[in-house]
Amino acid sequence: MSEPRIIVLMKEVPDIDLVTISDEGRLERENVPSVADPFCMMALGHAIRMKKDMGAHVTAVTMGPPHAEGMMRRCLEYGTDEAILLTDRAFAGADTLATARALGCFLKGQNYDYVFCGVQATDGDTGQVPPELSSILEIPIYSYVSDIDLTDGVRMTQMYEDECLVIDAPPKAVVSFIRYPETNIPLPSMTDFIDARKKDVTVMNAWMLGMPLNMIGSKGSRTRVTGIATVLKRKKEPVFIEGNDVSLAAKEILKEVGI
Amino acid sequence: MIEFTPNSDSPYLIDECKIRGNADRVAIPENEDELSTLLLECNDRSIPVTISGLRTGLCGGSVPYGGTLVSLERLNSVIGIGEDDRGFYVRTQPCVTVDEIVRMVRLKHVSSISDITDDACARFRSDDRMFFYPVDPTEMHGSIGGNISTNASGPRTFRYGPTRDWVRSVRLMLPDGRTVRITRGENIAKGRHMDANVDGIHLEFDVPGYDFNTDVKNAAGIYARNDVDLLDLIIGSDGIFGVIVEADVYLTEWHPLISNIIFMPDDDSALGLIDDLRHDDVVDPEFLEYFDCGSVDLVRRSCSVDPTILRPPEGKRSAVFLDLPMDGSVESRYERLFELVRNNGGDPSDSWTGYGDKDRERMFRFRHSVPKSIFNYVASLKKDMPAINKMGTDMSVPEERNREMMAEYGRVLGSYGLEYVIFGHLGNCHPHAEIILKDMEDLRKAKEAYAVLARRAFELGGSPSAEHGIGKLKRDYIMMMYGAEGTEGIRRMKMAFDPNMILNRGNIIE
Repeated sequence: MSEPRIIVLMKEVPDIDLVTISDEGRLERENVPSVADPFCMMALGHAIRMKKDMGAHVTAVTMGPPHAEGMMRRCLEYGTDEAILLTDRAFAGADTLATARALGCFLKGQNYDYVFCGVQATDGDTGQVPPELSSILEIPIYSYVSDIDLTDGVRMTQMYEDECLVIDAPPKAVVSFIRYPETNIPLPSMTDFIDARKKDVTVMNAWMLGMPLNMIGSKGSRTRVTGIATVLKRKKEPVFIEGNDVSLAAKEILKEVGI
Repeated sequence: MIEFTPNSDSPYLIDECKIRGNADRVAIPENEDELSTLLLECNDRSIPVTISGLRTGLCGGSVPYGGTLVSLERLNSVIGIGEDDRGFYVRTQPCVTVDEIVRMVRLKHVSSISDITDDACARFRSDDRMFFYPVDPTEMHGSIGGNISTNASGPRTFRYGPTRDWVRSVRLMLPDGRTVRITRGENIAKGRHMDANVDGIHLEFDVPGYDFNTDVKNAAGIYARNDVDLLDLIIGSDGIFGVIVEADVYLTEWHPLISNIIFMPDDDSALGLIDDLRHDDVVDPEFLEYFDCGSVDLVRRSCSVDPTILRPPEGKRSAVFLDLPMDGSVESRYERLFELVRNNGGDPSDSWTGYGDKDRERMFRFRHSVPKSIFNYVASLKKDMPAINKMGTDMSVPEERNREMMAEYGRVLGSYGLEYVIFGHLGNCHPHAEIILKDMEDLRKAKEAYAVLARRAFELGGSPSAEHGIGKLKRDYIMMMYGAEGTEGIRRMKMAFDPNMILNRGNIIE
């Protein structure tokens, strides 16, 4: 296959490493910066590798607030040919179905071989958008992909809990990536950074996509978040076992945990 | 309070330099009252007390040789925010890590801490600016108490100076359990004589007679000079005068930065680039770090064990790491930087950049993987060679003698047949030469070579300990730098705080 066209779906999420849980069990997200979702970064990394190895044309797309433009500019620095931001107040409050509809609407107007995305995002963890997109676009989905081998066509490795499948992966398809191995995408160079400043992030709104307003955002959503609860584990006081007899200590531990 | 008798392999008897000590007991006080009672008891019975924080030190300062090891690990809360003429400061207990301070300040999570001055937390939270604690000691999980005790510094010292420049005050617990708050500007020596009444306690002593070298980055012993501030005598004193139970550290306004790692064809080209950048007003880097070809190769080998570390490009490569302000001048900065890279034989596209937290974290992990892989390597040797320890230099010299000193590392270590890598803070003319020990014979040779290099750094107007402190490992160099009279001056000063000489015995002086 020569010069495949890849569209990478990106999502901006709060940096979960900086989100803390208050004593009352609330998520403290104030002042937490946004980052590109690490699952999406896996998808982006594989797309950039295909660009370098086989001349793929790569477009990064996100649906998000205006400040997501910074993340899309970073995609250009990583080497994507285009970066597109779908942003509109009408998209706000979208559940996974309304999100997939908007992205699907955009994708239907594009020429692509693969839609690369993360299996899930670290903020919602639903994992629903990739299969919903596959359904909306009426194309197959290769899920849980961990690696792509380009030596003889496009061959993908899917990682499941107890097995690993290597499949021939013809276009046209949605491909969802897991974080395996942990992200190690080469960073853009200084010249990539400067060159990307000559490019623009394309911004599109709902009207430009031709989306009816009752199909997107909160109006187009079929689910509502009615509450969030955190299960707090009861913290036990540490118990210190004195002495040098290991077997006696082991018995004490077993007694302590009720065995 | 938790107390126990440590086994010989207890983690409480070792720090990151991997020398192992011994202690009759380990005590972990829950609060200041318990610490005070414990110190008083030890003082009355003349039991030696070694204070440890999170044991990330590199000179054995927290490694005990007998007596009681007191771990301050439970004194680990951020107390509050205050504000004075200089700006906002954070008040913490000693075992809060630098990373915890940075995160708290970054996120402005002040709901569970106190106002040190009126409405400081609310004012801090509502301030539109972002702030940070600018001292980056590389090991961000070390304690602030340990950082102050060793006057720690790191890459950002190039722009912001060492820990000393950011300490507003400390509350010091004396060996008899009483505490004094020592605040900058409140207790100044007259010439070499200090006569201070602090919180009802009279402290009178002569400041040691030598002049502490401030021309270079320096963490070698007590900051002795005319008209010195009492606080400056405590900072960098390796805990020999008292136990820091609280500290105020200043914050400064944060600004966006872009990090860059530039790969160069060989060691000389990287050194040339750093020389060109050190005073370049256009590029104006925030820090300048160097990795010789051996260091970059070490990172490459670390990648096979830890795939999260960025893999350097293949082939022989040295590297220069620098941060630039991400402001309206960023393009002109890069234009000039590209020119300097090319002038020194490099290619600007042979580089990495990052400005988001995640990308910069990856770049700093790359940097930290050099010392980390050395720590892990030395730890792996200890199974077969228990007496082995890490041997890494920590010497700084004046800028005009830097190339001479760089040549000395190669000449001296090469003459002993030792394998080594050199990396670190070349912006401040302060690299770390880490010796790759293979056996105890190498350790013997390394100690000899180290002494030769330390003397050479001193002769060139530098310091044998630029940022790690003295602890027990580098005590001999105090005698070399300050002589018998200077060393005796430190001892006399210690007697004024610790007449029974129980605290942190073996640090700085015998």
